Amino acid sequence: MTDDDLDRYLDGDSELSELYRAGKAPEAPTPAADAAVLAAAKRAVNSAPTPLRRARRWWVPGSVAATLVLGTSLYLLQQPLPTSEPMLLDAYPVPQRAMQPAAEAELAVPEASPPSPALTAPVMKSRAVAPAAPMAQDADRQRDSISTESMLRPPLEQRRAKQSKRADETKKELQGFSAAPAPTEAAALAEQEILRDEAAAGAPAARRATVDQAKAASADLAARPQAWLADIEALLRSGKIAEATAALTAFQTRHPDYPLPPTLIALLESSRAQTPQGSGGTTTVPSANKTTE
Amino acid sequence: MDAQTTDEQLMQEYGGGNYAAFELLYGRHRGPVLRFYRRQTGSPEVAEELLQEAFMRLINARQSYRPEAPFRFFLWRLVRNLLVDHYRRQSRSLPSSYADFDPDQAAADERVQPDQEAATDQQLQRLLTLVSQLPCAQREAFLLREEAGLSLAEIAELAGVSSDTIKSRLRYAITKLRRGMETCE
Repeated sequence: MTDDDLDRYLDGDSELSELYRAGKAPEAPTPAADAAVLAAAKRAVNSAPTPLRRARRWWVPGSVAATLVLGTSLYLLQQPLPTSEPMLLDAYPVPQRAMQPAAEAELAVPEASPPSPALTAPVMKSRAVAPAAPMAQDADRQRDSISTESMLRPPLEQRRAKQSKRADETKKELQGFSAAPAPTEAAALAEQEILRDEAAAGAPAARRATVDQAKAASADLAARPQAWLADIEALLRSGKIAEATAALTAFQTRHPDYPLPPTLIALLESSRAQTPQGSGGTTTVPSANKTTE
Repeated sequence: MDAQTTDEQLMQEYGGGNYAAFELLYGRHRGPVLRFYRRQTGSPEVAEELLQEAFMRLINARQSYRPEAPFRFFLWRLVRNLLVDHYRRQSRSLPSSYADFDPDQAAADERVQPDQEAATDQQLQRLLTLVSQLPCAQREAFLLREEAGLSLAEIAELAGVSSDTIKSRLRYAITKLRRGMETCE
């Protein structure tokens, strides 16, 4: 068959097409088939939703979807923000220094364990007022077994002035991050420092006793300086120098301007004389050097 | 609506909810669709089932019909796809002639019974017998041309092949039919 023949066929000029068309008798399916098709067509038209019903069909799924989106958004917004307190407490060494005697804390600034730079930037800035020479000179003092040694060395008035100045600085720093620790909190912080020191020194027995003593002091004596000092005296008399030192540190943090009675000062001097120098194994000042995270 | 109303208009009317428009459409196209199915499957019962199914699909698709497409093409694509589904249900594959790109080399498909009910004389009977003996793919091309009145390009698009392939299939079919008719004479 040539292409011309095919083209003629495609144009309808073909005896085959004519013959075939003659065979196109009116074809009809059975009446049953016809009825089924027409009934289906009628049902489809009658059951078709109106535009309003079509719109209503979307109300329920649309409202469900909107509710889900809204609920999810509210739930996500309610998620608590990550707190930075642990980092703050761990990184910010001010409470440690606040527990120390004013002179020790002042000098121990550069020796502090490396805190977060962001948190301690203001701290370091305020520390800038501390003289550099005393820091270098008194680096060895941090190794003293009794923290009271540095408190007793300067005259009482000078020491009080330093304590007051140091306390003011501490208060300012604390205001930048959180409220100044309450007496119980201060004692708890001191307790933590002591625990760390004792753990480093390997004196668990002394540490346990110190913990008990710190707890007792913080609860009842914070509001009664005289009673607190009396308790410290009692500790010194009974030979519990470590506990007395910790309590005294906490006292001076809470009452930086409160003068120490002469009897207490004398006891401190005598206890210092009794304790061997540089032992490091009995009583230690909550030193910034040793206190780490 | 009357005999002058186009298929596209009728389908749109029906999509808008006018049942009478469907009645007209059905009356126009049920015959060719039935003949197509009958001469492709060789079974009147199967052809009638396929007819019903085809128009059910048309009813369900009334909302998706777009007047830009000729209704004839829309309907026959639906009809042809249903036939392909029928082949796959029967033997899980299309007849081999659909895959033979050279119609002259097309393997013989399973022969179908000729549609003798429509034969009014011997020549017609002979022609319908010869049509039933064509390979399935070539018979389909011939029937879509004769029953649906589709062009080469439209048949090619329905079958998913090139126009040249449809041209080859038609050429082979016409050649074979003519030889058969000449032999008969």
